[in-house]
Amino acid sequence: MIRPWGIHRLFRLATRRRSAARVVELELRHHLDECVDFLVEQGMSEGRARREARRRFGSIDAVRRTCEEITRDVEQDVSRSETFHSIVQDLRFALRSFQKYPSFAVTLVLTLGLGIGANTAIFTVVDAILLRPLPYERPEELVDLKPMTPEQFVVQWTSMDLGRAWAREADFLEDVALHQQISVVRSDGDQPVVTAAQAVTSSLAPTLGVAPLVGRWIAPEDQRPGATPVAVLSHARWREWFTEDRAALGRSIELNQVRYTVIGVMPPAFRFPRVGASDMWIALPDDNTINGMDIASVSVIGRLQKDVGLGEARERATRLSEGLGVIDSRYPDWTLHVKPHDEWRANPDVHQALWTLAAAVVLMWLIAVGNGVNLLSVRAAARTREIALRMSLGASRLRVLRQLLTESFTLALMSGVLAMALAAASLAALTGLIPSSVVSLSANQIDIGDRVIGFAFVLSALTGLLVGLLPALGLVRARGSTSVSAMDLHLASRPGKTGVRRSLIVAEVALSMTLLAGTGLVINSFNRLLRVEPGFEEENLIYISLSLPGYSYESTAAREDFFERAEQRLEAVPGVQGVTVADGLPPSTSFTFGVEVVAEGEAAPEAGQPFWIPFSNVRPDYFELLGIPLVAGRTFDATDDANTRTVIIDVDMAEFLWGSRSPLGKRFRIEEDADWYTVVGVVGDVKLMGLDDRRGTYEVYRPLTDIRGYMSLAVRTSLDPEQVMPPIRAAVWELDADQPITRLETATDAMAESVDGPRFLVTLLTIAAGIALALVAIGVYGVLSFAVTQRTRELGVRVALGAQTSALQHMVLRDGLLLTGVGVAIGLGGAVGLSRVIRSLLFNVEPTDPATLMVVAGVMMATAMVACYFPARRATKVDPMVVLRAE
Amino acid sequence: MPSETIELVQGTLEFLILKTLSRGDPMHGFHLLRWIHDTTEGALSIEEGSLYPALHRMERRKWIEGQWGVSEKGRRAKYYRLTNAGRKQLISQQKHWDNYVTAVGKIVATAEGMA
Repeated sequence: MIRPWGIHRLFRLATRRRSAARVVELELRHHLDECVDFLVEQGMSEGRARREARRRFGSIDAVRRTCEEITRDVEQDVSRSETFHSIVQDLRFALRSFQKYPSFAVTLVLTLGLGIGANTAIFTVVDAILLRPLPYERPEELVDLKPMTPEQFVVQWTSMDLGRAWAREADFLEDVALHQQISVVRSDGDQPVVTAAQAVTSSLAPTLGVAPLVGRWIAPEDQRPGATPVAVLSHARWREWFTEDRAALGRSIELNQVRYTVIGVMPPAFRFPRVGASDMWIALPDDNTINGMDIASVSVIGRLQKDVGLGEARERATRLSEGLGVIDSRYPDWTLHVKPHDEWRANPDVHQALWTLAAAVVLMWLIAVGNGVNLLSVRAAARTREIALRMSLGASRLRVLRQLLTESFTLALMSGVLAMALAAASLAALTGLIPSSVVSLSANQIDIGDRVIGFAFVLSALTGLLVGLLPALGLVRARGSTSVSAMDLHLASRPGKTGVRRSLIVAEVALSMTLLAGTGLVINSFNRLLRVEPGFEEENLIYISLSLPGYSYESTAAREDFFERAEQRLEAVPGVQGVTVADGLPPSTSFTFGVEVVAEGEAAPEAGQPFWIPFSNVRPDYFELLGIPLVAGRTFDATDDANTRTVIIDVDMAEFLWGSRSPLGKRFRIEEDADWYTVVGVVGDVKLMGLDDRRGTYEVYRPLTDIRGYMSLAVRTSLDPEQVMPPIRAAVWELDADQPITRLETATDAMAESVDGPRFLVTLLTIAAGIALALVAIGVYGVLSFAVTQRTRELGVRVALGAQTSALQHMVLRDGLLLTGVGVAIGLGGAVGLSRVIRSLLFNVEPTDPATLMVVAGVMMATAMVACYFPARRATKVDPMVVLRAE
Repeated sequence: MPSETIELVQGTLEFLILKTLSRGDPMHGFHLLRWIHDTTEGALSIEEGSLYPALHRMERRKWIEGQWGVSEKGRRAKYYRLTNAGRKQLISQQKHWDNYVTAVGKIVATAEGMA
């Protein structure tokens, strides 16, 4: 019997298209024929046999119908599974071919994985901070209501009276809630800790569309004056204080020395209004008084009614504005401004830093894709024979294309998995690098969620398509000639293919040059920033900041008394040389902005007006203790107070206002109509607002007369500050055991923190640029090695004809360096083109700084040189005999 | 040739087809029919009217697969062979069958003993 299985696909293809009815008909007729044959063999006449066969079969129509139905189902199944089956087949084939060339697959997956992984990691951060909708229900409907001055300046808070009135009258809102952050001290723990509580109306949770994870939310009854104080904890505090124990409900915690009952815990992802201010939520009482403290200002958040757009809400808000001055006489001509709650996500510099990083990793990804294309086309060249064979055996162009793309997609998806692993592994380090001031602004958690996974998947798929399509199209299109061997030759030596690979290398070098140049400039700028003299002696200096709770230190006298005692007590700590009190210490101090500085009797200088003016209120011994040199005049003494309006300014400001003339005794003011300040002394320049002082170069010091709740102490030590810090902490608690210490750190650390933002950018850009450089090196190496392999015959002939091996080496080197050089030139052009974008990121460095650009170009060329060296050396090892024999 | 032919219980037909095809060679419908008839010396007779629906049902369940080939007599015929799923099915049916036979055997033996 003939066994049909060997050529099974041919038959399958032949029968597939036949209709179900025809197939059944054929099968049944065959049965009858066989049966007749059989009966004839038994001795029956043919006519009788035929009748007998029909009789035996019974109702042939019924059988045919039943079989047709079943067969039709099978047909459908087959065509459905056919596509799937062939994809599985392609996949198997792909995996098998990776096994055959593991180093190829590993290189490609690593390269693409790095590119996709870096993008995934940065996307995680950018998405959480800038893009992802806030973690509330329909966040796009949430709006903030803010007072706006007649000059269109929107103010953060509104008075309580106004806030309450808005909440009552804003008829375009579906829900509305009031909230205000208050700093409370939890005093029943091991140590007093400052926590950020939000005093909120009970309508907050319904407005945001959130509910507690356990327990209940604040009820309207909790807001009645005299009601038992209640607190809803954030998940983080619940874990920290109660180890996520449900028994926490009903327990009490002591806040500002008042017992609050814990009534609920919010879900882990809930933050309001942002991470850094979401420890707990307490009821904002109807009489606006918490523990005897009057809450004077408040923020208002609301949810727009379904059919009300932002424009209409603004119109209706303007109508509401007419009575503003009546409700609160402090807002005479102000208006009610409605703005989307998520309009402000971060400061412009954060936006810029994050998008710069995003751009950097996209460049890196493009380089990785370039390498991917190169690797795959080298592979493609190696398998022209295989593809040609398959196509001449009848595989369709589309079929082969699909198989090649399946391979590149599989590789890209493997890279995607690696990328997710890389992103997950680096996330902790990454978020650690982001300045805490940025992280704490976000209401979204920086974590790997659905959006990030989706991003990685889409990017992987896109990567697969990009790296696979070009080489695959090249392979399939090449099938112009009929003979397999002719095509083989045709493809392997096609100069066009090599041309594509070479231009890719030029593009890669150019891209990484741009990235390197930007990074080089940022590094250079950061180094200059670090070398900036702070203007005071930051060694052996400790900062302590204390926030005196209003309930314990109500009067100015009480606060003055406390700080006086604190000064004395701290001076008695061994290793302490001196202590001074100020309302701010470098790099953070109070400031005013939008000013116009003008000297008495002169016109205001137009150029060089500062945007910010840092102000510090200081004790007379401040300058000596911090080590700030007195250049002219005197420091403060007992005769100076708020009424004398005597100030000390820094040398830069003196020069700005009076040039080389003596500023002593002269007067200036910073706002029209304001009272004049009289200069009594000039001190050296101090970076009061951080090392990058571009926005606040002129410093003004005033005598410290009003001791407010939040003050800082600077402690000069003779010993290592780290040693002195514990006794200092103990000394503060000796004075008041319930006094939380907001900050205790060395001045050196404080100054270093002031450059956290630039440091974050520099670190990540350096990593991205480093990886990009490595990828380019791999790319250059790959292309040159392949070129040498391809030219083996030519090189062999040259050697046989007497060429020096060193000449061959030079030839390959020159080839590689030429490619790199072209790329470097284009990249430099790109870097200069981007200088406008990058300028604001730079400190004291021009975006076209020749030194930086030259160094970067040098690094690029040196890297390329190393990458070219190995293929070049291989060129010299070509044995002419082997080549000629193969000919 | 025995005088009585046995009526097939539902499901037994499928078992017999699986068992027959498990011998290895692919077979077409008539061939299957003759083989079962001859092997049981005519004791089991399968009707065409139930054989073909059964074959097609089993193909649908992927227990067997049919392919077109050319028969010894030069005719185009649809040949069936066992798939892996069919082999598994055969093993499990074989167990059922053995259990069934043992159980029936016991009852028959007991009943005989009582008589």
